[in-house]
Amino acid sequence: MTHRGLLYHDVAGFLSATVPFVRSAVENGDPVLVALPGHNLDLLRDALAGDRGRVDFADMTVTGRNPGRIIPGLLLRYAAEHPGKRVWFVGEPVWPGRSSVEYPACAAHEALVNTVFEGRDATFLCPYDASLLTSSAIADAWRTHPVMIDHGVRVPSPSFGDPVTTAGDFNIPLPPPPASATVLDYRRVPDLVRVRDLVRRQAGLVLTGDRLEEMILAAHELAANTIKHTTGPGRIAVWTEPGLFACQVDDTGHITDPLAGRVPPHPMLPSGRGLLLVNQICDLVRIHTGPSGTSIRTHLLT
Amino acid sequence: MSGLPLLDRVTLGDHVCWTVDDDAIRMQAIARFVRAGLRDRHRVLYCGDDPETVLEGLRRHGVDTRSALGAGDLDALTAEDSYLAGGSFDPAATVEIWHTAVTAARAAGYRGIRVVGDMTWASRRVPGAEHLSSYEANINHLVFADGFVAGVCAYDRRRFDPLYLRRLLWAHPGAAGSEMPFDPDSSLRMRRVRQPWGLRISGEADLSNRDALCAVVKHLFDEHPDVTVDVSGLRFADIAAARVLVDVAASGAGRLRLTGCAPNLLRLLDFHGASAVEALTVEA
Repeated sequence: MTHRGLLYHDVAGFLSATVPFVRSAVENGDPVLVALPGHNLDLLRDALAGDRGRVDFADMTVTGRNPGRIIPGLLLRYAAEHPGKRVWFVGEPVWPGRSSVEYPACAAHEALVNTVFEGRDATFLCPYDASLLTSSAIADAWRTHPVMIDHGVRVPSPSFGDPVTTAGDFNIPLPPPPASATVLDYRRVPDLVRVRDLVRRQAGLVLTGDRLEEMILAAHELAANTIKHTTGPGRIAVWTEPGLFACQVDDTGHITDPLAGRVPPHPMLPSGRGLLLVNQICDLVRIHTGPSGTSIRTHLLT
Repeated sequence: MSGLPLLDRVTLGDHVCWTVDDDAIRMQAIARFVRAGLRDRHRVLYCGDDPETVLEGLRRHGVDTRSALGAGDLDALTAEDSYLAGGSFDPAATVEIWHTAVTAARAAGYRGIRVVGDMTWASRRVPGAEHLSSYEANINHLVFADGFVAGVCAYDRRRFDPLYLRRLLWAHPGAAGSEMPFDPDSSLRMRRVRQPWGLRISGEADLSNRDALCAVVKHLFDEHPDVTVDVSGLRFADIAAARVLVDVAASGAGRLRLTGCAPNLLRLLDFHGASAVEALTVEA
């Protein structure tokens, strides 16, 4: 596995690294998936327009809107569709405009790509917009990629460290839910009906149809995890923000698996897919977990 | 009619775990349930501790027990004469009791049977009581799926360990409490359908009734290799419920057709790899 960060300062810098990367994949007869935010997706697609060979494209702001979904929903899935092949990815999960609530989930994702793909035949190029991203986001890119490309020069990253430890550094407290949030405490199995009713009522003000049902399902699975995996009570808080519905579940559990929700459990295991499903449904899943409890915040865009 | 409407919405085929911790509320709700059964031409059975006390309570709540007992519309048995008839709790023998009761009630022209099972006996050291949760799960398909018997299993919250009670709860498709009426909308209803052969599942499938769903689905192919399950009335299914449906189709025991799948269920079935299961047909 190779996992390289690309610091680009302009369009030319972006294309001069990404175009040869994609062409190498195609020349090798390997599958290549390009997942970028819309404007960069268009740039690269146009630059490759005259090429032969197949390149797969995805809009990262849609499929990768939730960073927790990128590994299971995009990368592992694509790799599984091409067994026995080296898979190539151009992925830009950290783009200017990611909110401060989203960002830690993005950085944790970048760190955990190293863990999940260790020993696999995969090669990654992750563009970072060095002209618009903050210096701390660029510093994080150096921490999550063993090799960086800056001004066309490939250098081993001196600050790359153990990926699970690095991901743990982004396991940070969430801002508290607003005072306007509607809150419900739950503890027992029959309370799950009340959790679903609450989400139906509150999310129903801003979501409709399938999206509403999906939000109810996601909230239900989070609350069911509290009841299945902890002995204490749980609390669900829901509220709306401009453009999104937010749902946070707090309980006394501790999620010790850093890859929970990112890697499907063995097919024979009957359970353990709740977080994976929540990642698939939601547009953001932020987790803060430790011995004193777990908070999981989810967003659904309205 | 006096009493709380805790069990008013229980209909034939329902199997309800009733955790109750107040004797007065309990007696009122039982009386109400019995009266409704007698009115609907159901045969009504009480099985459990102190049947005489219960009959006395029914009389106080206005049930004409003398004529109901005389006509065979009502019967009250001790646990020792029902669940523990062989001296211990034998699940197969108990199922046989219900089957015999169903045959007799059908022959006598009743529209159905209502059972109030007082489960207090299971809180005592009774041989065989360790089979209780699997028995509670299995009678969903052995007794209740035909839609002729309504069962309310009364568990006294004061006498059972909460964790044990939780496992028992999961084995029932529906639940009620001292202050929580049985609500069919948030419970699971599973009824056998003969044309096409299969089941109709409605309500909500979640952790609270997971073992009940598992037990019924596990026996889907016992009598027929091609089964249709109509889930159009399933308002909510969680991730585990969807998994149960995919797994049974993947087991190789038969072919399963799911009809009336809601969008969320379609998503969950897909999530569990339903499209790769040849023996499973999924329809919206």
